Amino acid sequence: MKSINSFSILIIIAFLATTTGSAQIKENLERYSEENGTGYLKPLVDGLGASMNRGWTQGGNIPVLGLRLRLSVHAMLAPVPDDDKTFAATTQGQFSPQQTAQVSTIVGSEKSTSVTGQGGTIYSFPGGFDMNSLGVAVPQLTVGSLFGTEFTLRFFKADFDNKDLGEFSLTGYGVRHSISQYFPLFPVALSAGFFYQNISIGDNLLDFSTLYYGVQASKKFGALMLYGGLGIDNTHADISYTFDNALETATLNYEIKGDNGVQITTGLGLNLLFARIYGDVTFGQRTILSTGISLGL
Amino acid sequence: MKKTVTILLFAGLIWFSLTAMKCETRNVQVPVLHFSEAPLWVRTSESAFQQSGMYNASDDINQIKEEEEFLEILTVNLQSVTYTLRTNNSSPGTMIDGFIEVSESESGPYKTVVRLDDVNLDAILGVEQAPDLNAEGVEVINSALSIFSGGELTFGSKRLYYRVRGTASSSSSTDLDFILAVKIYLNIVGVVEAEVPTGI
Repeated sequence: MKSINSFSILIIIAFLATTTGSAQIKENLERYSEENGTGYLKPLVDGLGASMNRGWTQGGNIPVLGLRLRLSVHAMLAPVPDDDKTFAATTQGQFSPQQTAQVSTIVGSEKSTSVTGQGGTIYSFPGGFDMNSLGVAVPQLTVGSLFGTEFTLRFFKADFDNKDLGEFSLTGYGVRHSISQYFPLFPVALSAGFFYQNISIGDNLLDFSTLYYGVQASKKFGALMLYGGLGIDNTHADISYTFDNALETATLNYEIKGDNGVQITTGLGLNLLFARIYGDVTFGQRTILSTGISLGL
Repeated sequence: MKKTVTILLFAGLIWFSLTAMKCETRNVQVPVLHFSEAPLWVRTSESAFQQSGMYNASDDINQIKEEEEFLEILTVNLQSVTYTLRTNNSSPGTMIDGFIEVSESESGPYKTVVRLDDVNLDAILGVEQAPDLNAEGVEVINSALSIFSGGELTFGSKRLYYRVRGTASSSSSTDLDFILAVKIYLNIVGVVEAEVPTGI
């Protein structure tokens, strides 16, 4: 069994940083052309895209001026719906007659699916990784405030000791501006911002981009804070790998769009002296649970 | 109230850490397509022809098991059989009729896996042909391959014998000189171990 980098799992992107899992994703993908590859990978793009876009903000309050420096860790979990477990795949290459079958996606059952062809010949599709949720944890640094504006950065880079997987990097940044500063009597703290991230794995095997923009509002009740947000996700992944089915070898490059759309977040935070902990739920194309802790001013 | 919320949030944080970040082993079933090509050189001045060969898949399957890091081989089945005319020095316009047959024993009985009906050698030179497959022949191949399924491999314990036979037709001369490469595509499903994080 190949070794596993447990440190990376604890720090960031639990699924993609799992070296054995990621290497196997690559090998499974190499058996699929674009059409089947899209169906196989889409639940990963949808789930991780929606998860990665969470945790950027907790509340709408941004001071107009003054030092704000927060280091935080956010964990997001996207339960995998049953519909994501299978997709319609089509047989490829030397097999007759061509057939379409419901087979495992990347998060589906570990079992391969076989179809019977002419004369009793067999064609098999790969199994999935049998996952009920996709988990993500990211480190984040927030710096402000300049005229009610703060900046957020996410960064992680690692070179895994795995020739199949290669280098892994996460870069994310965002800007948020206070809206409520212009309306002194506004009943809640209100801000608006946008946040962009890029995850790159291996030799361009997967280049994942997410964009979230929206408004956030919050109201404090002593140390407690009730907050919510309304925004839009825009996620896509560029996939690049060598398709090899023993008959032909070809470099494939294609794009998978995520389940983009409106997201509504509601959550509860607790402000301590130099720390804040929170938990929230986001409802959109899928439900995401988030929690985290931040330390600083 | 504050204390309760604090405890709940911390509990949630710990629960997340344990669920989102926990890893479990998965035994993922992965198919690999493998092909083996056997050239048969037919050279005769008679109209009837027959050439035979033998295939032992053990080495190929063992190599795949090693390369793919399979914990075990689950199934090995035939996915397809094709043939390609590699060279043709037969008389121009030669047509052949015949069979590609397989058996688990050198002495037979042989079962037909592919029928060659009115095959114009000039027309198919260099082009892989994917003919209709006969169930009886497919069954023989799958039976020979079945020893590789579900456990450790037995080296050389079972071989697949094949032959191409037939007659030439529609030619002024009966000189036959061609190489027919028979290709069998094997679908090998193995189990690989992968670590994945698990959640709720």
